[in-house]
Amino acid sequence: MVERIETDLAVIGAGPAGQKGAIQAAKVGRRALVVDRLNQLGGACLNQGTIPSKTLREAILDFRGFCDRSSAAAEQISIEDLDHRVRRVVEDQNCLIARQFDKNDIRYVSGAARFIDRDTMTVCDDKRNQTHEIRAERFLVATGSRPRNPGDVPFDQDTILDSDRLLRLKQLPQSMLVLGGGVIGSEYATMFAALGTAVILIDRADRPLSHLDAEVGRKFGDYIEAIGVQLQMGRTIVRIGRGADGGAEAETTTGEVFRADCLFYALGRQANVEELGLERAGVNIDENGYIAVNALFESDNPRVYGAGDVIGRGSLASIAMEQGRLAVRNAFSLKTGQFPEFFPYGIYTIPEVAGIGPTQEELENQGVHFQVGLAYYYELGRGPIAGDSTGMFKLIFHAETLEVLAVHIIGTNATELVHIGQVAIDFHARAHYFIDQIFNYPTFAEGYRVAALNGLNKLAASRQSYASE
Amino acid sequence: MVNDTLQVDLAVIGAGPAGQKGAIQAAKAGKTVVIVDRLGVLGGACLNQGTVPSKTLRSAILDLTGFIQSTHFGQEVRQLGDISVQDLRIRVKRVIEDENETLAQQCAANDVATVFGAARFANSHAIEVADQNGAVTARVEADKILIATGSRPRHPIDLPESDGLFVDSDIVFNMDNIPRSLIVLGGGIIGCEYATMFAALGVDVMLMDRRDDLLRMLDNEIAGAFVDFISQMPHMTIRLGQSIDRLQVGADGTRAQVVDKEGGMLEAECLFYSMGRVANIHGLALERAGIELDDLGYLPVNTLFQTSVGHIYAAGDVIGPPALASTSVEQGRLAVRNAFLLKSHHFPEFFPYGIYTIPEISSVGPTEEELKDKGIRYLVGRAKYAEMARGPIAGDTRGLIKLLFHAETREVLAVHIIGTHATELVSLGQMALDHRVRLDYFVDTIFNYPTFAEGFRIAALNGLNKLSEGDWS
Repeated sequence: MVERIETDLAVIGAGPAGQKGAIQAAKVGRRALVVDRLNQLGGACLNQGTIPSKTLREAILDFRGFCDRSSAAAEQISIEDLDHRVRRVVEDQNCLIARQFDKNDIRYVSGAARFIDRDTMTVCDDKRNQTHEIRAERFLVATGSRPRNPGDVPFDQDTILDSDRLLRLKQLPQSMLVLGGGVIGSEYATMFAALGTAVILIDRADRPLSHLDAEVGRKFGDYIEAIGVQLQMGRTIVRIGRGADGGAEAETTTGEVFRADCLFYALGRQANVEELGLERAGVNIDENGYIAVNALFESDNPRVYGAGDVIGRGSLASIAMEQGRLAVRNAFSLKTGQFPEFFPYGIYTIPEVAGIGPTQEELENQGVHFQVGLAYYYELGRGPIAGDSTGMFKLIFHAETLEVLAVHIIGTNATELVHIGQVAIDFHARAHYFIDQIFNYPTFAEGYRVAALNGLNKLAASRQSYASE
Repeated sequence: MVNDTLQVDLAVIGAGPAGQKGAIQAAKAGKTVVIVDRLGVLGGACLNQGTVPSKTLRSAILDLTGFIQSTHFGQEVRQLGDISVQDLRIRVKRVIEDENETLAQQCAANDVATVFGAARFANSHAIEVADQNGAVTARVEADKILIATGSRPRHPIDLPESDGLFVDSDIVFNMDNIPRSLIVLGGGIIGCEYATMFAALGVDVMLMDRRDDLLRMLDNEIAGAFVDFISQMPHMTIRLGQSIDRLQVGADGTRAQVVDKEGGMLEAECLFYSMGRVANIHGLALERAGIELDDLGYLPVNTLFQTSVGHIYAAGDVIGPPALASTSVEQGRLAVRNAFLLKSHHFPEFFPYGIYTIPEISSVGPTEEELKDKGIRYLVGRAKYAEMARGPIAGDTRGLIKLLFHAETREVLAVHIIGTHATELVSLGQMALDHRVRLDYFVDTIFNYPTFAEGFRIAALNGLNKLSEGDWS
């Protein structure tokens, strides 16, 4: 028996973009419905990605903090302890989303959605029996992404792993190869290193997180080497397999072979666009496999919008949410803004890295006349108190107008602290502002003042030497 | 015998945050500077007895006990037996020594001279420095003087003689053992900070105050949330509205006792009193400089931080509230900029309060009650930590971000936060106040996910949905 549904908005995918889109529609009085294959809310973000990995990280930091700083016997961290915590958080969040859907009268349909024409889709259960036919005024495709797993990599359940499988490991490996020094590779590499696993991080680039501001990126590389991650940069892997002892092996173009208990393959993600019947809806895919959308998040079919990882712009949960919200506001012609020019990035490695605005290299290329101010965590009252003296603030401001252009932070609470810089950029604050402002003492936020002082003093010094020449 | 007379542009009395910052500011402007301090080390009470040690202790206790997360995830809080006073002391000592060293280097790098000893005015331009026996060891003559002598704990009037049974925040770090039970007298900031710290450590704490509320300066809703939180803390008992008759030592000399007006008696292994602080003006011979005090014993200053004597400035705790390290630093800097006619500005209208209790509390801008009294049309937006993804991840679901905004202009008027990282997060609210940010901004802004900072968006949404449209998401 196929149920026929007419609705204002049909969303495919219950991850961050889909959720926010559906709630936005409901808030303006539209009927919204969400279809998801997973039979659970939250998408990969909640069930396999952002949330579990960040919970894991926080749990590791808590446990590790205890081991490092106490003279009491070091505690053995078990995978059960970590797992317990991750499951609890995921369940809590599932409930939270379910309540939100309930409160906003958003209908949830479990199953695989597929367009049959430009304004209709069907939903099938896991036995491929059709259960629903849904006609909607507007559609939002927010099906997300998954690890990009090439066919020639022999993935299994315990030795050669992607990020979905990594979270299901039953015991802590003694050693691990991490392929890919991007965000996901670096996050897990540092987490496992903190747990005591011997990690080798391999990447083609000359440093991990190669997209970061170079100074911050170098500091990150130095730090993670110091906590025991072995960096093997500038290497391209041509073969991945299992060795004679059952462990993982990876061979480079030059014939070098790296071995460990397991291998984590973290070389990118790909959009979930298959089996959606996009061609029947007149929705096109771009050359990188993402759904092609314009600045309003509208696809080639003006009734179908796309948001989140599936459109391949940013691939962060925070960005996906805003895209989902804006897409739906556009879809129903509500007052809306452009996607913000400046938004922060947050990388949950150990230590955390976050930033907003261009890197120093980008400013140099643009020929902007800028000045850098640095503040090290050990200079801040809070650094030694919290036991973090390795972090750093890098504040970049215009050398003439003194307006804040960018801030990059590595260290404890970086992902929180960066938002202060964001307000500064959005409201054209000048570096002076931070000097005249009172920050709580002792906080890390004070780093803004120390960095501003450092930058302005350097600027004054260079002007003086210029004048005396 | 005076073996040393120094002639300088600026003499600073007191090497705490206000004095230190003032001295560096003058040195940066090319002035000759000397700092005089009684303690024999730099940093003042802030570094050596107050802010820094207590915040280090708090951080160490939270790390060692895993208190916040354990209570959320239902694991056992690691208890007293596992943590020795030595563990804590090592960490505190290391932070203080490092910081002492940093300050000494800063003074040296800026050519700020230091003289240790008790300062007193000889006349309005000269200070004598005496050693412990009262012998004058140095004389400093200065164009301008900055008094930044700070404050010390106020003692109860009838403090009994005892061997370490009654302690204040200056000597709490000298305890040899962590007591099993502790009475905290006084529910202000310092009392609440230490009471929650010791309870987290597993000490049976009884927090007492004459009044019926704790942390009275706070927004009522936040103070209420704090009382709710600590009422559920294991090892914590709160007794408010207690009129105390006297303090006494128990018969065997090992118990501190409090007798109330009805004759009831409470006792513990130790009593911590935190009944306010008093300005350090004793022994300064202010009358010889012609400086007057106000009724509360503080040094009155004008908006330029000038005392009743034009070339003598004062900053920090000695001039009275807010008496925070953060505000003292800025006062010291501004006082010196004014003294030497450097480009300056008024003390900022908005500055944050940070209270390092467990949980942390911080705010900037007026309380809801103050807005009500002024008749301002405001609305409230709230975000509970449980609603932010970071809350459950970090194991803190009890925190709250409260945004007060103008009901017509939608400008942010105040931010009050209780919960993890409150003291850091409040700076974001402060930016909003200073830049007249409207609530809409937080809705249209992308926050890192998952963070506590996202709470600003959730609170803004909550607030905006109370306006007529109600269609914000």
